[in-house]
Amino acid sequence: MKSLPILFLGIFFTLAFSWTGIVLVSHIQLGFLEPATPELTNAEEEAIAGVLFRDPDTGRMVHGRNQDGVQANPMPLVGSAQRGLRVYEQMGCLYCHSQQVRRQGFGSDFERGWGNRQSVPRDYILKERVMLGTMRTGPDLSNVGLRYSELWQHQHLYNPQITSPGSTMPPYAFLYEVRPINPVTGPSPIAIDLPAQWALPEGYELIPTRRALDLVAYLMSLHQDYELPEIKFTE
Amino acid sequence: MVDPHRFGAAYYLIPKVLGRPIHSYYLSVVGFWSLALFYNWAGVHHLIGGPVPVWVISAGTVASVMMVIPVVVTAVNHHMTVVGMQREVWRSPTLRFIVFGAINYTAVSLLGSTMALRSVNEVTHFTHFTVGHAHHGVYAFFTMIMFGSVYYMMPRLLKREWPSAFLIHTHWWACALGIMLMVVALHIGGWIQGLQMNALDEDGVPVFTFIETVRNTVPWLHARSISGLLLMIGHMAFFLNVFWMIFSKPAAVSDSKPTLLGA
Amino acid sequence: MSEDSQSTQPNPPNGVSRDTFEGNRMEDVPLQQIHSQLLREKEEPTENFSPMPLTLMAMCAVLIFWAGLYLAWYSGDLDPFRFDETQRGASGIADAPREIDMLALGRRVYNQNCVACHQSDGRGQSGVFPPLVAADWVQEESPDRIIKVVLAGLAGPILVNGNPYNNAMTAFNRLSDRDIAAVLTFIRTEPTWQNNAPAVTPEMVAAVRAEFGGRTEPWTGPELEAIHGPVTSR
Repeated sequence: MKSLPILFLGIFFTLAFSWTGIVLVSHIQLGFLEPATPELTNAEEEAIAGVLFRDPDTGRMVHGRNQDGVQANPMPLVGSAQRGLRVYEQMGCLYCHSQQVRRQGFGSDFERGWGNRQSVPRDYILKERVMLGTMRTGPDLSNVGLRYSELWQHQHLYNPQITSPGSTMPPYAFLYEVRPINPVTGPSPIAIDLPAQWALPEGYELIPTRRALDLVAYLMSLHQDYELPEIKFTE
Repeated sequence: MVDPHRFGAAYYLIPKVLGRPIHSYYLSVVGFWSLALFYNWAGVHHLIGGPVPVWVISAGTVASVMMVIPVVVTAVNHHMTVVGMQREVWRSPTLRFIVFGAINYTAVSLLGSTMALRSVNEVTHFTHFTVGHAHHGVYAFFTMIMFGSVYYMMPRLLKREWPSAFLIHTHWWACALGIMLMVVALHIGGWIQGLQMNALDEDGVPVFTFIETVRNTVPWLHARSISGLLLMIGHMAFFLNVFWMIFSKPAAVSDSKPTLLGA
Repeated sequence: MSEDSQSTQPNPPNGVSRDTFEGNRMEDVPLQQIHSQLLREKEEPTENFSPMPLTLMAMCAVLIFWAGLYLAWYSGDLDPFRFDETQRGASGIADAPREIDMLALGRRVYNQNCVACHQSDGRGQSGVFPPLVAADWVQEESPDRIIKVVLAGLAGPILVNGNPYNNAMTAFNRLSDRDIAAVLTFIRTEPTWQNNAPAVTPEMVAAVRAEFGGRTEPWTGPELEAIHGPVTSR
């Protein structure tokens, strides 16, 4: 094959073209992202409107500095919530739930209360695994930590029909243990209360397993309720 | 993706089984290089509306639409190769599956380019439409072409013929009807799901609660279960035929005619 | 099979004896079968050199032209921090102050935050999530009790219209005073919910927030009763 070198070079350059465009340029543009305060400041500690400002010394556009004494976001996942990410993965939550909010005017994410601003790359920089998701057989979970209490989450995982009648989500009852109340120490402090019509038989209580506690800790950690230099709340 | 794999199989087997040259070398070349150029960029259309800068998504949308070039070029090339020999295609198990796959490649790719447009994606994203599209690509086009390739390879490797034309017929009709049912059901159900999900009234309040949009997909998912049953019947027929072919006594089948399907 | 034992030559393929094979006794049918097996093997594929049709060239030209236009419109100046393709240039041009329809805003805030538990018809779920329709808690003259509930949440057993409910409501202190006032106004005045209580203003919410805003624990029924007395519908 005489044209083998041409074939090789052609394939090399078409691959290099897309790799440069999607991977390399994106990395140069966004690879430096760090948690940020809602407003950034320039070298003179004056608040700036966007993300970048022109450095007076070099004349280059550089990333603004975080304001002192203001919480920078996003925050890292730690402890139980970090383990809960693995449970989220193992239980296949990803197949039905997304974690990305589209802007107002594109879909109905804002109107359904899934978030009051669009998700941006900076929201995901500290995530060990990014669970963007591609399906919404269930609602978006980017801000699920804000919408419900822990009790709601436990009841919903144990049996979705308790909190959301008609839901097609499968029950994750195997993450919970129904056991007799200890006659000596009495009811466990972590037992889950159930509404009257779903109550367990007399003398039994519902105890979440380690995995259920971790998963709920992870769900409660999901929130994008902070502003960033590049994105403000809608309205 | 599975495209390059499938291109190889179709570009070899269609002319090989028909004994007729590929329509145009130039079209093959244009198809190959435009595919190589655009396809790597096209994947970004899965992130439309997501946490990605505008320009990345626009690049992905443009690349996905430009995929029309390799798709149409390849479709013309294959169609012009086959044209006038439809009877042979219908009689050969290999070509019947491969040409079915090639037709669906054109359909799924043009649909895919349409789905990469922002206004269409706003409806189809996060719904069963996308799931239907994925099955359209991986089953109706890729898997069917691979079935066709197996129907070509096995007699030549084992030096014996397919034992049962009836089982090939069953395989073909169950799989072709099954996958078409799945694709149509998920596309319609997904489109309705997307429209209901995005519907807002004049105050900016969703017209359908979320649970309503999910419950309304259930009948379409029942159709999908039936299509899965059909596919299983087809796969069982194929498995039986392969099993029979491998483990039957050589003499019993070796001097029979090639197994062709009735016209 | 007597011929087999006499012959020193190996048998021809297919187990047909040499005698039969060479004896010109072969019937037409097997011969044709072998033929058809051989005949289907075609030459290795080759290619013709038909030129590319002009219509295809035209299609490519149109597509490339469209691609240029699309990129010019929607490339967002390659700005990594632009997420809305319809936004042109620098944002920040303030619109004229708008008249806000508190009822429409309240209805939207309700659908964003409350429907998951209290349901879109406001009837809740018996024993778990109390109803808002024709509810004594909602229709009190002073909204201070429910403002507290919305800001810090509510946990433990309560009675609504005399029926017991026992669950936990999450805190909504992340909502602005305006949004909370709007959603409470919507709930308290929605005619189809048989509610007809005075509207809530952002100032009322701000006053409660100023007094109890630091509270992170959810309220309980008895605690609220200690401050506001028993629930009395208008």
